[in-house]
Amino acid sequence: MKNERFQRLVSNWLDGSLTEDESVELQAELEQSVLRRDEFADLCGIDADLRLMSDESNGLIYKNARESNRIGNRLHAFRPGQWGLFAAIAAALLLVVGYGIGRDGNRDAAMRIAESDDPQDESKEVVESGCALLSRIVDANFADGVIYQEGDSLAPGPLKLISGAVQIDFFSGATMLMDEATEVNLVSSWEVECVRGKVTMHVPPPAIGFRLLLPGMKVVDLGTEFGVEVDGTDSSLHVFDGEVEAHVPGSKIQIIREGESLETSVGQRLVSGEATPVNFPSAEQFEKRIESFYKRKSGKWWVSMEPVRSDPRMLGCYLFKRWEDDRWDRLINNFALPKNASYAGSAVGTRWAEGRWPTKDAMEFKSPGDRVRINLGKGTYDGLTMASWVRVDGLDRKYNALLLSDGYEDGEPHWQIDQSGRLMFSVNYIRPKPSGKKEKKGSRRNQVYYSPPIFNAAGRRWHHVAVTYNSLTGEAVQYFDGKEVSREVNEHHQPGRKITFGACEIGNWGLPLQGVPFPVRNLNGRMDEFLIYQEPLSTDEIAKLYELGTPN
Amino acid sequence: MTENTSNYETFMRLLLQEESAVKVHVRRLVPTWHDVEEVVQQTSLIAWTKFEELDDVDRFGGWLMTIARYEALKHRRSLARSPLVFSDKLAEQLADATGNMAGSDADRQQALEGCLRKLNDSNRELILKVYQPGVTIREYAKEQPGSEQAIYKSVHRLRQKLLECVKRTLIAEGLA
Repeated sequence: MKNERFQRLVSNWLDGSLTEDESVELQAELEQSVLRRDEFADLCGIDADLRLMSDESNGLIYKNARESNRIGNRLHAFRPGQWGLFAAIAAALLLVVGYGIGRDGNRDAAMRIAESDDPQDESKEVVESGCALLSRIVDANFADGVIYQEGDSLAPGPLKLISGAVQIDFFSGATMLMDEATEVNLVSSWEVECVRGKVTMHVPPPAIGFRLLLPGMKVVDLGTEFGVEVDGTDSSLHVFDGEVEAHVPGSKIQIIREGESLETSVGQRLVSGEATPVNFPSAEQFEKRIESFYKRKSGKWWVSMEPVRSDPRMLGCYLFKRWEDDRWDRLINNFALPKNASYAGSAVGTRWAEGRWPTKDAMEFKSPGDRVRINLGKGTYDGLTMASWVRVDGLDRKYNALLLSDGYEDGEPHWQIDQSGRLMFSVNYIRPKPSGKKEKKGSRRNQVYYSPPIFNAAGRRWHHVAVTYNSLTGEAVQYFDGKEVSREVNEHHQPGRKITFGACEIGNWGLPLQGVPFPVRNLNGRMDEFLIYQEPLSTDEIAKLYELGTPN
Repeated sequence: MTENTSNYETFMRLLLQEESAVKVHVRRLVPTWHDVEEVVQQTSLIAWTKFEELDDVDRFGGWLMTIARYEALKHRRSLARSPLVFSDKLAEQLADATGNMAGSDADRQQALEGCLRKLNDSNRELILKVYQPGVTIREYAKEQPGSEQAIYKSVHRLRQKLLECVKRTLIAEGLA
């Protein structure tokens, strides 16, 4: 083939005007020759480069833009087709981290991107009003009986810690350790007031400029670690690393450097001295406290689970305990007593992760293939209970699996969360074929039970969910954090039909068959306990399970 | 939180660096620019969801390219049969083609900018117009006084001219 002919055909392909005959001709030429394929690649490259250039804001190429500028401009100049992706990423981040995207220009870009999503969807956009989040909690009790969980966002306002210790991550990037008997007032992601007690601040470079207010003093951080103590009207400041600016009314701004301290009290002169880090909560000490606290907690919890494990109604008791020396690492033990190894599960794709508390193991489900497979055999029962501790990181799918039986055959249950955050329990029954008709199989009738929407974007929280089903009465009850959220008898209920499990997937649905498309229902989140009983438990029993397992 | 934030920023930075190169590569595997954008968008989403699994960010470019290649081949299967959709075998072969221009993407694009400046105003306007987002030559040609064929020919000629010019520039700079 002559060069001109070849170039013409490639051009026609690029411009979308290639005919059937030309296509055959061009393909034959390309298949035969590496050189032609390279030429083809070059022309495609020019074509793509021209597209990319025209895509950028028009005229940019005449301005000899610098590379950095160009990236900036490109952030502003994304086309409508791409909003979807960036909005999706931005929205995913909003779910996980509130709006803490950082302080530099990227935040603005990301926010604009999030805002420029379809305006009709604006009302559905998740909003977050926090300025910080509670990243660690050790044995903490707060004033007024307020209960917090790790990962909770904190809105501006007071936070009073009576005992224990907490770590707070401000959205600006600054971190604060609070010791017991300490009261602070969160002002914004850039400012906090210490009212009494002791805190240690760690301020990495992105959060330089963070302000801490004390009685009679304002501390502006210049990138450092320091502690403050407030006792009545007396305040002291101790710098462990880097330096800070101390603003004291009536005095000049002072720079306090590593190893120095400054004390103020009303009507007294400022006193300079040496810093005493040992008197303040430190990250190392914090780690140690966390470790010993959670070790104790795990121990206690394990003991408290013993009666649950030996409940004679228990079929599968998956507590997600990782065995350090298990080479394969894929075994999900059934901890029901007496032991029944054949009901053990097998982890596929999932990864071990931190559970409700740091020393509790969990399975993390992320990819469309992730699942835990179990097989509870062919036994039939008059009811069931499923109860699980789960952390939902996002409701990505139309249906997000908790436990789904493989085939959804006669009498098999499905339990999932739909995209609107409702728990959805269902049992499939096959209606016997009407006599005399030629249908090969009876038709399916699905008994479905919904809870109101209960999962929302308040991410990273562990929740207890449960469902009980009585196949004699057709009643299903669903629970969220130990409380009943729905109770219903299905209109299609017929007495005398049994429940069976067979092969099931926790966190996903079914073994995909070769080449057959299957709906994707994988859970996005973590699970660190899944219990399956052969009878419906009572409301009190579900509440008890919740009490036993609460993280704090 | 900070971990996720910095993950996001790292990902965005890497994606912006590599996105053009991926588009350029995918162009030869799917029939239209619209397909390229769909493939790259899907690729970016998948890359984001799997980003945590990437151990070494220095491998991001190659990793992204691998995902893109797979997505492009997958995308092709969803397309209706047409003279523009080549056989699977050829698509695989094309995916392996290296091309004759060895400079980096930035070098090539810079060279192309220079070559565009060398065109006369009406030619430059024509080529930039037909390459604007969402424009196809056919639609553009309908609005023009001349014949459709004449415009196809002009675009063909200009593209070829630009390719020669870019190649020459890269060779002159010792990059090819």
